Amino acid sequence: MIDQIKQENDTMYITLSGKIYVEEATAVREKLFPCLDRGCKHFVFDMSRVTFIDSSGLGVLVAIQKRALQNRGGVSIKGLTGEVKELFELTRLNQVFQLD
Amino acid sequence: MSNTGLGMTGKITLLSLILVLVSVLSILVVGYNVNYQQLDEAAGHELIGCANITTGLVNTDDLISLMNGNPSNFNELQKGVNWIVDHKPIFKNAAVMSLYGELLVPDKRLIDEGFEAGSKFYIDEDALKTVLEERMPAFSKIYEYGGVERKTGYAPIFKDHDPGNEIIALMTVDFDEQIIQNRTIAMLQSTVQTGSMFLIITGLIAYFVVRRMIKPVILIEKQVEQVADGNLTLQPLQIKNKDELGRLAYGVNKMVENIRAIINGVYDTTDKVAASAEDMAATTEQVTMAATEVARNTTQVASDAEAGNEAIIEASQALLQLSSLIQMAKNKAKSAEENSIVTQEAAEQGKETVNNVFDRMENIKNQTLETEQFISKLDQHSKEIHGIAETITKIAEQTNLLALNAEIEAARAGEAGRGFAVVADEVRKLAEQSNREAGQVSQIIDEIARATSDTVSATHQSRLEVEEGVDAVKKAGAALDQILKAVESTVIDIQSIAEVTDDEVATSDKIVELINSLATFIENTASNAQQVSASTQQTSASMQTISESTRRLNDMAAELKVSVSSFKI
Repeated sequence: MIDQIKQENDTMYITLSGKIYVEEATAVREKLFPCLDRGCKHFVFDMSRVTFIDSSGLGVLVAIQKRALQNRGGVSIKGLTGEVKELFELTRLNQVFQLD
Repeated sequence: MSNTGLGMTGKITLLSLILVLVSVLSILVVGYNVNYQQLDEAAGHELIGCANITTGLVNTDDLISLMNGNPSNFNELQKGVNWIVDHKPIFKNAAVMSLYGELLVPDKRLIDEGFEAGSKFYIDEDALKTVLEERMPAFSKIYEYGGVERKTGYAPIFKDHDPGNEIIALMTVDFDEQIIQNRTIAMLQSTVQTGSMFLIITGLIAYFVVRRMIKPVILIEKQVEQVADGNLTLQPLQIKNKDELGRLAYGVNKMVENIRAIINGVYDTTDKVAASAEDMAATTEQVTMAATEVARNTTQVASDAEAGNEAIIEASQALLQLSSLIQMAKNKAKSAEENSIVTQEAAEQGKETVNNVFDRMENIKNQTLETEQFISKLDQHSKEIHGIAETITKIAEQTNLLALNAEIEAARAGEAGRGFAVVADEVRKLAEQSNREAGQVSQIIDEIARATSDTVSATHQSRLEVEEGVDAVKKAGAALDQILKAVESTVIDIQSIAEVTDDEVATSDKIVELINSLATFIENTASNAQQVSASTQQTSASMQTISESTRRLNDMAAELKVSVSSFKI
């Protein structure tokens, strides 16, 4: 679920937790795409409390990354652990995002 | 090979001679040693025999006197000693010696050698011990003293020559060791002569026997020389010997036969090897070209796979986005389906409502038609009333004229007409009032007519509008039908979308697995391509080596052919 979304200057800080399935992914997309339409550049996801993410969630992160790159920004992801980290590695997204 | 050295016959003869010579020399060496020892022993016995006998030449009293320091009889004593060497010149020396090795009476030869009476001389301790203990003469081993090798015999000189008395001195007689040697050599001379004869005889026998034995070897040698020169067209050797030479000849014949077969085989094989080498060279070239092609392709594959690594990241993103969108679409389709069902229900309710409205509009239309008919009748009645009012107006006008005439008449009648005048006035007034009222009625009727006309047109308009309303409701109904159909097909389409998005390919697990296996495949392909590239390079290198080897093989086959061409078969 989405715990928090806050904006500081031109950076959006999003904190997620639990399991990210299509509903959560849709919610993230619907909350952040308008911001991207307005020209938001930088997105920082704190996923340290995320225990699972499916392909819809990963796809939304990719979509945000692509849109952010168009805005000359990017997505960085913090706190990946366990199965979630493994999923990033399996899908080679660890080579796409800036992981902290 | 040069034939200048000793032949086999010479060598074997020489060997026999060497053996005989060695045997003779062995016999000589052994014989010398044995004879020498025997002569040494014999010389010893001769010495002690002579010494023992010659003790009698010594006057023991004179000797004791000399030993006691009186030299007056020395010459007499020396004469006796000199007699020994004069009488037996073979002896080297003779002397009378004290038991302590002191020369008491040396002979003239010792004096010539530089010894003198009283000089210390060598004494053999073992011999002395034997002499003293066994009171018997004894001889020494060969020893060197005074620059000469000597052997000495010692004989005891008893006081008064009585063997029961004490030994006062020793008679010593020496041999020069050279004498023993000379005697030994003299004894061996016959052996040497006999040996030499044997040597000559052995040599001759050996030469002739060996020459006869070697004859087949010479034949074999000539045969082998021919073979060595490459002549394999020889007739087999005919040697009847059953011994090693017979077997050697058989072996040489067999060898020639085998070499002939081998050379034939080599001829065939070199041709085949040359042909194979040519084939191999062609094949190697093809393989090298293929390997070069493979190397170029694998390099391309490696480079493609490298690009594939980047592409797979792009593909991963695209697939994930696609998967995400499909799942969202599925989710949305589900809610759209629910909404469509609600819409469908609403449309169905709407259609029901439209049907009701239609029925009611039909009723309104009918009622409007009825109203129009009522109004038409009302208009008819109004026209009739208007006709009556006009009649009343005409009557009232005539009544008014009559009343006016009656009033004029009454005025003429005077008083008598006064009452009538009043009635006529009243009648006129009523007639006027009737006229007025009738006019009002006409006005009202006109208003009614106008109102009715308005009503008719309004009703007509209303009916037209109702009809339009009915049409509109019909259209609304048709639109709702279309909406229903559209919603139904929408529901079907959405269900199809849901079915499509239900496909397992788009599920998270499958998509992640697909990306991973694709990425792993491409990564492995890159790695494999690199390995193949390396292997191909090794193959190319190996093929070059093989090509080089093939060329060498071809050259070797040619050389071999040249080599075997020296054989005549």
